[in-house]
Amino acid sequence: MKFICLFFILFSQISYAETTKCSSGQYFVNTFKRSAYYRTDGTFVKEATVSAHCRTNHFFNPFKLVFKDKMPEGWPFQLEIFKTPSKSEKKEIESAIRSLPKALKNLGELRIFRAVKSAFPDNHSSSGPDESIIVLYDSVFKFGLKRALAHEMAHVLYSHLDVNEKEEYRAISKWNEIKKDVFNTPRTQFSEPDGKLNPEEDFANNVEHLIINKNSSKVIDKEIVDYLNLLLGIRK
Amino acid sequence: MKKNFYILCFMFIIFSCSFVTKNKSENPSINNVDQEWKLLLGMQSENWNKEKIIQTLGNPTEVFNDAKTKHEYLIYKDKSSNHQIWSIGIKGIQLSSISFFPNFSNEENFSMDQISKHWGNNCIKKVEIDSSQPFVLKKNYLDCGLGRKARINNLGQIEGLFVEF
Repeated sequence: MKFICLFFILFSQISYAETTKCSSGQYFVNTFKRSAYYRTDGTFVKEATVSAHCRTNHFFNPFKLVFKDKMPEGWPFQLEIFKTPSKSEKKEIESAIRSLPKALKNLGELRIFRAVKSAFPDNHSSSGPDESIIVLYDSVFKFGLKRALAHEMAHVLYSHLDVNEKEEYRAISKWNEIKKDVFNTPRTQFSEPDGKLNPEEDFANNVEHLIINKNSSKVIDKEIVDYLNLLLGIRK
Repeated sequence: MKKNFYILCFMFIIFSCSFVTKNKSENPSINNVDQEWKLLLGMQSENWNKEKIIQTLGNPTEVFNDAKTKHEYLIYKDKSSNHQIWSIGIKGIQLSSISFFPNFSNEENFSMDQISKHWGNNCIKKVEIDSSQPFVLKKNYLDCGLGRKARINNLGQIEGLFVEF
């Protein structure tokens, strides 16, 4: 009897997984067993099997672009000089953002700042992902605006992923957090050398290469490419 | 006739499934609520050694030896999702750090309220700014003292629990 049951359950799960197509802004969660827990009001909720379903991506918020002309509050690089972006710069930035994948443009309000030079050598852009801040330096226009924006917006996206979405990237890209804020990976291939520092930088580099570099599959592991294509809604 | 046969078969399967499920769910295990907490608190208060950790959690999925600090980290992952669950730091044979990562199945048991309940009510919300790289990270923590911290993400979810000895 258990055998028939198991077959029935397995069959129904497979057909559900095959037929389920999550809509834009959602991701698929396979069946999992949830532990028992107490609600804050003290009610006991027994353990249960949660069936496969679609969950809404937490970063799916209508996009709003705001240009700023002063240093962001609490910006740690106090010696950087900030300025007002010109009309043509604004147009160029807007046009570059329009060409990026939709998932990067569902991050709610994004604030763009303009500064002369970065406190870090050879750096064309910076970000404060938790506050959706991007700082573009003079050299960014020569370096490539689309590339820099893809990288910084990927930082913003990463900081807005929920626990499970973030953990999914870490699992696929083989990152382990060995102790608080100390990461390690057995991987030897990175799309940019600084990707080996932590999963955030690795994620931003990989998104940047996936969008800009036509040969991205040569520098990014296939599993990561497949995952990012799905996350960003890129069809290849 | 054929249609009735299929309906009967379907109802029979549904009936048997509900019977099997009922038998299993008659005694909901309340102990499961605190299973991971018991492990975490046990390791922390009894200062487990490597042998006891492996005896309890089994063989780690991966082992990382940090040549610089001479620490060994036992990493445990979920077999189906490959998501990280534990990283246990050991120096010599003694425990040096514990990292635990809640997931879909147990996130309700690791809310801020639950952490305060298990780690004491003196937990304080703190912000750490990391500007060592061009992207500035603002990390929110629940600092419960005695080297115990829980990282909170931008959505107010607990990303990980960390104990350093």
